[in-house]
Amino acid sequence: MTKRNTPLRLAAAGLALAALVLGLATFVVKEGEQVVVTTFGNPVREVTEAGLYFKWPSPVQTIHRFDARQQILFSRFSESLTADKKNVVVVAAMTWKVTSPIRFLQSVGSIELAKEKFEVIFTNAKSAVLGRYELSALVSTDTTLIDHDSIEKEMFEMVRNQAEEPFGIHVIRIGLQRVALPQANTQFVFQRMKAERQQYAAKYRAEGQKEAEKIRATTDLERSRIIAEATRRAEEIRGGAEAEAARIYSAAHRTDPEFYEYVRSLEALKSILNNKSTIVLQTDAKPFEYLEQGPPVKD
Amino acid sequence: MKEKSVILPLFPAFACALPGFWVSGFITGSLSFNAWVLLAFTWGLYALLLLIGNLAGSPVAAPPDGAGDKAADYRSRRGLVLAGGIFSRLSILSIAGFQLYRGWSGLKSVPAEVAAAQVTGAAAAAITVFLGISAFGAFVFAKYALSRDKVAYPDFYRLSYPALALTWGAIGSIAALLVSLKGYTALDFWISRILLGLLFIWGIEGALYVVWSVVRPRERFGEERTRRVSLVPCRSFALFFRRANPFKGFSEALDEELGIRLSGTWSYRLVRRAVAPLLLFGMLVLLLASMVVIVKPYEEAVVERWGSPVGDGVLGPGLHFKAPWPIDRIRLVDTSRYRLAHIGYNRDLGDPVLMWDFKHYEGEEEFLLGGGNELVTVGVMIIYRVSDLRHYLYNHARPDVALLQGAYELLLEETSRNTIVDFLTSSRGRLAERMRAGLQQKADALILGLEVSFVGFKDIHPPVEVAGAFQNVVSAKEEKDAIIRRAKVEAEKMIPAAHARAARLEAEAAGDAAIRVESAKGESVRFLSRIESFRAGPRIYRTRVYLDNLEVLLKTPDKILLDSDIADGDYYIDLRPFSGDRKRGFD
Repeated sequence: MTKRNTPLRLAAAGLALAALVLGLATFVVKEGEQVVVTTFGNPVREVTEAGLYFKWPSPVQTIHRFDARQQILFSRFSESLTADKKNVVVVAAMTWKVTSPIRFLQSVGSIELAKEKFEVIFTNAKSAVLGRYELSALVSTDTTLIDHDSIEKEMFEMVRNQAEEPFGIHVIRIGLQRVALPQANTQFVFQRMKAERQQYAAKYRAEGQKEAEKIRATTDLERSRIIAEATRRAEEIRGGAEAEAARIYSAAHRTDPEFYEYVRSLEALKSILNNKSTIVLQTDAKPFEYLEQGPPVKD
Repeated sequence: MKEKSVILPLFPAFACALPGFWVSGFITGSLSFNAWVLLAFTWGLYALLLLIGNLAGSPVAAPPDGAGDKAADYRSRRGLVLAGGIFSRLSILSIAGFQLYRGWSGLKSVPAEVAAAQVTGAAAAAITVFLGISAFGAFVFAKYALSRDKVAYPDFYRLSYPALALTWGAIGSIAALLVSLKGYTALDFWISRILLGLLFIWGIEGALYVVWSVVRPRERFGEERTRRVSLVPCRSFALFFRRANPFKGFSEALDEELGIRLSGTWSYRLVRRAVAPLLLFGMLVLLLASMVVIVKPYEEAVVERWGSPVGDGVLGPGLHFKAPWPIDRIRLVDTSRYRLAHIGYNRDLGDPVLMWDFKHYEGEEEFLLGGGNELVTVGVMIIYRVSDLRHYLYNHARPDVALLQGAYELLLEETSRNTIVDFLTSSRGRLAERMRAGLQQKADALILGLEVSFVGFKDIHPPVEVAGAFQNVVSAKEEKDAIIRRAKVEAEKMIPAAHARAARLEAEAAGDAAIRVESAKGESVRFLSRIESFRAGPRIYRTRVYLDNLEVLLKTPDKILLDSDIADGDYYIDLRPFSGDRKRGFD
């Protein structure tokens, strides 16, 4: 029984040994990754190409893996002062990657630790650069004043000088993300925006009133004109009628002017005499004579 | 009652476990302490059960020969035995239920939400002292119980294993508590998991034991066996805390309980011999399985041989083969499904009604506008997917974040040069298309391996705080229109009215004119007819007319009739306006 199993046992033992060696004495570097091999803590080798590599088993040689891909890091949401003494909050993003893993291992340690350190450098550079520019370089209705490219470039140069050499990284680009205002200023801006909008609202309302008044005035004018014209025409009609009446009258009166005078006088008397008039008459006037005389006697 | 003498140490242990259970409800910071208290509490319950069983006169084993006084005594107490059996089974079942429920719900709880609570220094000191005393007590009890006779006091003896577990659990909990004060909570978490796991296993064992006690064979190593119910089913602890070899301990425990020499059966030997080949076979199957790759319809994959990508292309959906692990490894990514991202806010609040003056997204960001004194809130949606898997995987650690940064940069270009009115009134469609094209360019330039299919403005509006003022402007515009419209309506009414009045004036004039002319005509006819009548008889006419007129004319006026004989100057007439009784008369 033991004899029959020997080759199998040997094979199993060999396999186990191979697995052990493979597990302890090799390491795989993946694409997008780089590795520093240290011998008792002393960095001896950088591996940047993906593949299978040999090393001494663990206590002797240890490996430290770093992401070789681009990393993105955001500056703090912090206030900066522009050259024209305006407080702004600018957020920017920095793209970088580890290019010298040994130096990175010695000076930083890991990507997570790097974030803390670079954030300080980056935020500092951001504030320093913004202090040299006016607000109009960040935001302006005049597009010729906006100069994001220069701001980004200056930040880029500054961060690169401070971080690339000591930390073993490469800064790829820096881009502005957002420009906002600190919370305290925001309130004032809101008040100002509100006031401005109220001004516009008042303007619209006043414009409406003005326009309405204009329409009303025009209408009034038009109405007066129409009525005046009508009045004129009415008077003309009346005048015509008057003339016609006069013509008719004169035609009639011409037949006997003396009689007309008589008739007209009587009419005039009718309208002249009223209850306020006092008429003094003598008894010899007709018909009062009859008061004394009695009826005429025919001879 | 033989066991009574050794049962006395149970009293203080039980007295400790019960209040501890209630206290634990108030201290939430230490997970392992809570788990330990649960374990101690159920241990206390079993101790209580044992206590009750002994006080009531636990049915002891009948002598093997089944003869003599004791057998008769046993038979005479059958009813009591039966009742005791039912009571103990029900008790064990309910304790086991409690253990299963609390163990499972504890294991299921999410570590993040429970680890957040921190225990204060004073509470930690109190718990530490409590646990320390309990650990010592449990240890002393275990040693004492183990020194007793295993055959004479089987249940008491068994109770020692969970007591050992309690000792070690208390020590672990103290350690976890002290480390968690330093902010390292992982140990606390894992110890609590172990303790809850023990609780759960104990619960399973209790439940299984009750079932087993009903159906087990009566034969034991060829001897007749009594139907005695063990009051403390806790063999699982014996496996962990007594034996050096869990497997052997397990088979021995099974031997004892099943009444079969399992370790002597052919199947046991077969299993023992087959374990190694089975393990090898399993590993082989796993290795073979690692050679097959199934890429789902919406995925793509890259094969990495010793970490370096193989070939130039990617694996599309379908079945593929590769070298076994650990030579070839696979990276599967969901590439064809569109992904959704947004900038300008953190989280959609999901309110179906989107109004300017209500916040509808959490963490809305404000952008400073061109004038340098206006802010705007913008929400942009981006729909994109992976277009080049290799670029996506190997160029950038967080390509999705880099894409969003690109979108922010493009949005900044727009916000930094416009005023709010320009921005609110500009065409969103054009803006969105410009941003989409720009974003694609950026993604290509940064080699993100992403394809932007849609950029849309979910929202452009003034910040919530000033939205009301903006709406006021809109309503002012409306109001302006309304005022003008009202004036126009008035005008529309006024002009026809004027025309109507004009027409009336003219009509009236025409009427007057007609009356005037006609009356003139009438009068002239009358005049002419008067002439006619005059000419017909001038004298009569004159007299008639004279008298007619006199009648009319002199009717109303005051009349003074003087005798024609009165000479002038002999009278006077007072012609002053009439006032009171005017005197008129002669001197």
